[in-house]
Amino acid sequence: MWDQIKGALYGATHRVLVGVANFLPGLLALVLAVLLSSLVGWALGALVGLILRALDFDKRLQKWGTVALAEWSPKNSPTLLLRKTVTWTVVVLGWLVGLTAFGAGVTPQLIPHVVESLPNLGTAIIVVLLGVLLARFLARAVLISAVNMQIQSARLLSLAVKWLVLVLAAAMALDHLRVGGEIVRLGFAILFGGIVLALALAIGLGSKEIVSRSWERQTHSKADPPDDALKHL
Amino acid sequence: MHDSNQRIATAAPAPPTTAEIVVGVPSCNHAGTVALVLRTAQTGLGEFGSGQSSLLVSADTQSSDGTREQVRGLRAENPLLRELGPTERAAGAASPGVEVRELRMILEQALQMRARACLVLDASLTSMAPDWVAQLVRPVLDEQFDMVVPCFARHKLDGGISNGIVYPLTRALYGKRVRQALGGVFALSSRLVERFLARRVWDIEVSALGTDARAMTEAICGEYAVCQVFLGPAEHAGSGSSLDLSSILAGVMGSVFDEMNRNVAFWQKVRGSQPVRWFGTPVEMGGNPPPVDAHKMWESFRLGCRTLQDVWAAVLPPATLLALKYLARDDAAGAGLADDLWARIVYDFALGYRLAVMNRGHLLRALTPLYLGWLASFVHEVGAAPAQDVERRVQQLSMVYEAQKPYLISRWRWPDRFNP
Repeated sequence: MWDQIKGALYGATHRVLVGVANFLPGLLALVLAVLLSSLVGWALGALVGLILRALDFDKRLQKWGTVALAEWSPKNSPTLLLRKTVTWTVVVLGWLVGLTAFGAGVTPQLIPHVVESLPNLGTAIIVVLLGVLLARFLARAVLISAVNMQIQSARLLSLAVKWLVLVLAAAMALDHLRVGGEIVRLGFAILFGGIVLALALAIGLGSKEIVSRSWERQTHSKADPPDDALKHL
Repeated sequence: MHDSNQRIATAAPAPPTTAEIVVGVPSCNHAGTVALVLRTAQTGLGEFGSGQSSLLVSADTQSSDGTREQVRGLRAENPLLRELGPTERAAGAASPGVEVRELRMILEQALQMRARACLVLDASLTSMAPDWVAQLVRPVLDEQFDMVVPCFARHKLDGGISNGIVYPLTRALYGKRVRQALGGVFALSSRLVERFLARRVWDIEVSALGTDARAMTEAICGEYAVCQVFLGPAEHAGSGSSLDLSSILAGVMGSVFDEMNRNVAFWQKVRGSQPVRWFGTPVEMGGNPPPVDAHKMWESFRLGCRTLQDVWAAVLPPATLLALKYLARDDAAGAGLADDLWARIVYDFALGYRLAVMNRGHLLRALTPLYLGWLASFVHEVGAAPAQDVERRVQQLSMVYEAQKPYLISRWRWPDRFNP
């Protein structure tokens, strides 16, 4: 009986040790890949940063009139944006390599699936980025125009336009990734409708004075002097 | 020189090959006014130029409202009226703007005719008097000036953009006190016409509102002699109906800031300003001045202060933003924008435009509530004062612009380091 217990213990220990022996190299490979990729990513990012700074990249972009990229970049610096992009691309690649080494036996389908999804993911990211840029641009344009038209709810209008575009971009990106399916479409329709309603209310309430002034101008005789007949030029 | 490129319609008698004076009217969809301007110019040339050979030129490449038909009708009355129309070269060339192209054609015509003076008129100017031709051209022919700009009579509070921004800014930048730089009318000497064409001044992008600013800065930066002439009021057909204030302000300020960027080396060396010689006598403006609602303007400024802080923060330093916030607490424009604060705001916007801190159209339009705030303060201060006091106040503001110029130069040279 002692022999049987010993055998069972040896067997269990053996299986655990074999399991650990199988698991450890993968884990070590993952840790190593992440550490190495972080190091390489940081070094490459620093190199890209140095080169772009030497080329005065930010100022050159300004001269070429590429304002949107600078606006979207952290601290308004496209150099920093590119530097971080390079760093994080290498780190993500390191993670993928590590996960492949770690999960060779466990998740053999993960990596091909991720690789297959990359083009769609890239497109979705681009859609979201363009959406963010467009949303910011339109929100500011609406804000300034509404203030110049003396619409009191200018900020609300601007916010509504911003979220309208953001929601549209997010829905497009999720639809492209085939995430959510009908729920996303339904949610988008509800949100979009809600924002349009809010926008209509904001315009209606905010510009009622403008509309009434315009009506008054049309109904009154043309001999009436305008509110402000100054010649500004 | 460019005969082959331009379809020039002439009729008997034989077309002149030289002219002392060329009067050009660039037009684009000015069917309602072009005939009046051309007729008045023709009368003016007849009254003035008994001993001078002259040529009247109409340049139009784009009109679709019958302007060219109007000009052709006039040619029956005056066979010496020359019409410059669309050409293959002009239609296919990358041209900066419609009326700019016409302006270049007129200058080429003046050069070709070896004209001593070239007068450019605004096709929408309905209040023009025949004697304006002589008044504008005489300083070029008799006094050897290279550029003559008009100073139109106007009500004391009219011309806010000119009084509050363009005049003080250009005076501080270029050191010449040209009172109305954006009259839309100017006379040029032959050597200045040559310079404009040789330097291809009109090939660089410029808006229709910016041709005057371009011409004036080119003349001043080239050290040419500039003078100004007092004229009667300028009434423009359709003024104020087609463009809103923010579009006008954006168009004008974009042109002024563009010129500023093109001539940095010149204006950074200029200190102080010198008067520019006047011709004629000031014309009093008749009638009552138009009603002005300063309270509405101030409310626009306050609305801007409440909602545009984030936009302005990209252009204005924190101290200025704080000062604006403080001002916006008042219900009325009693305290008003101080001159030095206003001058620094304009300089900061010039720098923001240069650095393209945001879309330039947005940046220029974001200036509108600030301008209205300044205008409300100005109206509050001098609304009841006589016209001479208003003019004195504008001169005082201009001196503050000059005094604040070191601020502009510092920020221009070290935009990141010098940020009070």
